[in-house]
Amino acid sequence: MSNVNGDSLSVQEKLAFFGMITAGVSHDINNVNAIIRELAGLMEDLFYGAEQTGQLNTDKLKEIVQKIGDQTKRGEKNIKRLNRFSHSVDYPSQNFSLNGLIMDITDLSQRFARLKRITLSLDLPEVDTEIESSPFLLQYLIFSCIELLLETSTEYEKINVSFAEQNGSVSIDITGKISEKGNRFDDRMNMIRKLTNDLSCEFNMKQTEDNRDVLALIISNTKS
Amino acid sequence: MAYERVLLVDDEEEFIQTLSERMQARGLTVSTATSGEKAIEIAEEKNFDAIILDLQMPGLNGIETLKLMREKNPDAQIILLTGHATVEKSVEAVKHGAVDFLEKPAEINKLMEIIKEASDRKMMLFEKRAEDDIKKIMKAKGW
Repeated sequence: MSNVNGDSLSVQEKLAFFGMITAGVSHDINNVNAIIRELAGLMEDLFYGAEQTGQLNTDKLKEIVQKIGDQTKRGEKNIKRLNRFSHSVDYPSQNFSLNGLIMDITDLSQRFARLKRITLSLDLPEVDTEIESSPFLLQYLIFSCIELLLETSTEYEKINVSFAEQNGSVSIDITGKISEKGNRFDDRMNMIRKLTNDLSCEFNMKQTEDNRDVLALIISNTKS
Repeated sequence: MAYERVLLVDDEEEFIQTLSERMQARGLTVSTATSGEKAIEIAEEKNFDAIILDLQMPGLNGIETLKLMREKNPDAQIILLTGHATVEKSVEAVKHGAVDFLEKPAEINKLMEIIKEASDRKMMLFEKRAEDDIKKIMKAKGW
């Protein structure tokens, strides 16, 4: 699937997506930073107290160190994800792992789902698939589908992202429940159509037996 | 400056737990909530000298929570704390009655200063209201 261009999209539209994702991650990183800063402040308070009383609560200190370690790991994950996302615009078409890309864009979308109180889950096959395409545009497309479901679902709904490979084609299914289309539905659909066109992939909407809505992206000619 | 009662509202539990511990060590009485809805519930039950609200939260966001709180209690001293402050958001917050707007992470000493100012302002409002009530009674009685 190397027939990729981003011609249907304006620079502003591409930048809007880039900005939305980077702003979301930077917000998360800032939260991590704020927590570490308060934990460091708490340590400072403990040391100050110890200077006055001659006693240091080492159990509390160990607990704080553990929490700082946990937050650092959370920050590292965010930074790595942001770095991979930033590099997705390096080349118009690249070979990449579909598992990795879907995992990254789902993780990057978690903040938006959390703000809407929606659970966003992921089902990946054990065997990875490598494809040649535009990782940036494909992430934009998957995100647009997630965003459409986030905007049309009610609170506490669930959205699931999964993909399966069959006969050289890959189907990425984003499943949720459209409750109310709202006034941005047509704009979102328009964006999805532009992206599927630029990525030369197929898009269709279907319903499951339990009346859930599936936004299916079908990509052909995968590498392996 | 002891005994100020503060309500801390943020969906980052670890953040409010740690900040609350530090504020308590400085003599404040702190309640916490991880959502706007829960914060409104707590603010209806208890009286606070200052309420510190995160701007971006699941469900009701900071501005929506601020509006509802101020509708129920126009004297509420609400400080917005946010990851990335914008002029637009701070203007909106002040328009809806926020007394201050701080960027996260905030210096604890700065936060303590702002809480003290909010508490003093609330006391002044209380005294002014009591004075107005007395004047009204005196006027009604013809004293």
